[in-house]
Amino acid sequence: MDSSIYQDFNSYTDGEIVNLLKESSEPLSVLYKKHKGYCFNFMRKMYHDDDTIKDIYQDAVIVFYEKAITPNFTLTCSIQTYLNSICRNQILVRQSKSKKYDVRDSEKNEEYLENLTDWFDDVTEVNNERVKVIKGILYEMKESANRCYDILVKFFYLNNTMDKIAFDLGYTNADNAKNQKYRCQEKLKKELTKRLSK
Amino acid sequence: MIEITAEHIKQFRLYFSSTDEIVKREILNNLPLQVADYLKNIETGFNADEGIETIANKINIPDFENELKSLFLLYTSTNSTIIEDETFETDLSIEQFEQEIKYSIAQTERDSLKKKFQLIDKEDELEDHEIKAAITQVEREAIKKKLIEEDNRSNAKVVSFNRFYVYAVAAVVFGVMLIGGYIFYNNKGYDSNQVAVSKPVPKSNKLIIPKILEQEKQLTLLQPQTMGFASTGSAKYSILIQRIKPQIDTLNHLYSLCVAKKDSANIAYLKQQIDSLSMVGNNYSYNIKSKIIHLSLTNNEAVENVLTNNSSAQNDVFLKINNHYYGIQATQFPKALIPVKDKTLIEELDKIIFQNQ
Repeated sequence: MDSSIYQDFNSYTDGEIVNLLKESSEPLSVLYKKHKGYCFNFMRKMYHDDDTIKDIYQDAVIVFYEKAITPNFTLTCSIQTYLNSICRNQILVRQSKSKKYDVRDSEKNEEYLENLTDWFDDVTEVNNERVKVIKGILYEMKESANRCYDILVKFFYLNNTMDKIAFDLGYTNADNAKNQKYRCQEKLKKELTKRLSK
Repeated sequence: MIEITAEHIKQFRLYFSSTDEIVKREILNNLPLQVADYLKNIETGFNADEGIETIANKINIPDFENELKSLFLLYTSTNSTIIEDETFETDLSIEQFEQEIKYSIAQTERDSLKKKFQLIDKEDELEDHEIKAAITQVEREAIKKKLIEEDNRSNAKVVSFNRFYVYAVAAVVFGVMLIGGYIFYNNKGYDSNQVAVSKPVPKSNKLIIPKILEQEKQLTLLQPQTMGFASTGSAKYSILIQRIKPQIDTLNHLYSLCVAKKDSANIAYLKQQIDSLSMVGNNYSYNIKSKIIHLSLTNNEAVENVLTNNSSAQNDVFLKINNHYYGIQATQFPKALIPVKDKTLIEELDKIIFQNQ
């Protein structure tokens, strides 16, 4: 997508930005810059480590992006509010872990943290050893601009339908795209077995 | 309805035997639109496992069932791996594998997004850093300059303001007096009858070159003797001789002096004069009426006689210089001295000299 589209980024409504993000991750850089200052100032009042603040903000933007690309996502507040909310939650999480937060608010916070959903939907039951190897293979695929990586990302990360994948990647129909996806998975599986057996 | 040819069926077979999407797309693009639609419908039917009869009815091509069967065989053999995968998918472990892929891809994508953001942060930080460095340098240079100026000021002679003031006032008074005096004295002598004249042009320091000294020699014209008697009333000739070589020597001496003084203007002037004199050869000019012969001789040649072989004609005059005879003709402008080479004439002229001795 042409970056000149984002020159007048402020003219887009938050809803439109979410729709743009569903098509491409390109507007994310502009979004990151746009809300950075406010979020940083807001977090600095609660936390004094700039590196952590930066890390939290980056994660918050990624969480927002991952929410935005889910099929049924509806934005019920402004992006800035959403990011502030994620950042605040994360600071509370980190404070709770380091036990720096106020004891008087602990009960209230724990309750709040239990209801906290807007964070990475991490798969907890994964074999870390296998994931490490898979990640290595995926990085190699990405570096070599492998078509398999595109299909897998579109299917597993961007939640695209097979029809959309077929259209975006130029397959004749969804079934062919599906076949290609299976072949890629097969390739990945073979490579994983090969590397694990070494 | 379009007819399916053998060539189309060949393309269908190629299509179903290929796993390369680019090849498949190319086959589709090369087929006529309606035939390509048939092919897509067949593939959709195979994928959906609709059965040969249903597909044949759908595409409605007569006698195509057998071809469809062979195409289906090709399709199943090409996609056997995928079918195996599909059976594998029912296994629980594939679900877990997909979870792992999903997790790994999410991690990979998040990492790359983070890298992207870090790059944006770095760009911002770099700008701040650059501004900071530039400002620091400017400030440091300014302080350094100030310190050097202070240092120089402390080393310089200190003149108090009062003293400076006295000097300034004195300079102003002196200046006023000087200008006033100049105006007063310059206006004093003028009256209305006086005419403005231009200031005398300063003399140029161009070197005055001494003129070439002339030697005058009075010679009696030697004439041929007739009947054993020398002619009477012989004419006197004035021979004015300019010697070039001594003049060139003088100029060379002056030239070397000017070179020593580095008098560039006169060096060039002298050089020009020397060059022009060096080009001058032995020449003469002859005025019949006044009987004056001007001679320019390059060396110290000795002018011995002036003679004629025809007493009635003043035009046939010869000069004997250094034992050579030169014919002289009336001329206002210098002419080159050309030696006589005619042996008879030389003998005749020798005879005249002999007769007059």
